[in-house]
Amino acid sequence: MIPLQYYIIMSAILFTIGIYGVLARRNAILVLLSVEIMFNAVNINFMAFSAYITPATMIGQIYTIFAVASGAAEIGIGLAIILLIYRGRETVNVDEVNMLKW
Amino acid sequence: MSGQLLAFWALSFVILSGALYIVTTKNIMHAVFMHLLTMSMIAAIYGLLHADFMAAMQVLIYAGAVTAMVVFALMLTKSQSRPDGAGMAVDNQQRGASFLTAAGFLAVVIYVLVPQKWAVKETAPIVKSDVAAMGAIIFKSYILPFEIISVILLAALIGVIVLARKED
Repeated sequence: MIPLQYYIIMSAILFTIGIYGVLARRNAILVLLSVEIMFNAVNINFMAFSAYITPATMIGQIYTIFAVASGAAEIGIGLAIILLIYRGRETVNVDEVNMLKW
Repeated sequence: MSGQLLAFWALSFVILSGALYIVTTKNIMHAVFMHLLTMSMIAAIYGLLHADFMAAMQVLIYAGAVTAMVVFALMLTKSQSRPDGAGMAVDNQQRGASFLTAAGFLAVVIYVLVPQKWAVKETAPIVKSDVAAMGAIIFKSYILPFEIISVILLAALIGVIVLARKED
């Protein structure tokens, strides 16, 4: 049996890679892809805890279903906002989208 | 070393190196297709956890729908970098600071979580997936979150249409 710790470490590393991508990328689509990586790291954690700690009630799996649904909504709206910004400003570079700054 | 453990190591290697490729490559199209591979391998991890239904959902939603949507967005926008790596960089100037932040986060998480004694069930993980039981749990105990998430999805759908519509 695979120890639960392996799943925790693996998803922590995956989440870390996602954080790096969100902070270091300037293309908005790549930032969204990195957010998806972080989402999936969290989902792996949910699934592992569900299988190891609450195998009968499957709480983690049900959480994952809701997380996937809200993740799908998030990526749809995110891409729509990116397209809107591109239509107005001809760029998807998040460094140049700073209208809300002072 | 059991076959399960071997499969876990192989899948983790593919997932982590794929994710690293996504956040470091200069070619955005390659990043999207590596995203497809990574998400499929995460579905295999769910299979390893005996959650067949979630593995199928992972392939359908993340490997299928999200990747297709991102490819469309990629086709409709002009990237700063060309496939040969020329042009403007896809990374900003904060790579060092980002790396330090991410590494600090990882250190804290591993320091806190790994020594914990989790209440792992001895019979775990469950040996077969039970979609019928999961459906019963969702529609008995979690019916309110289920309805709320459907309203959220509907609101997101309408919001996306309103946002992406051409101004007339």
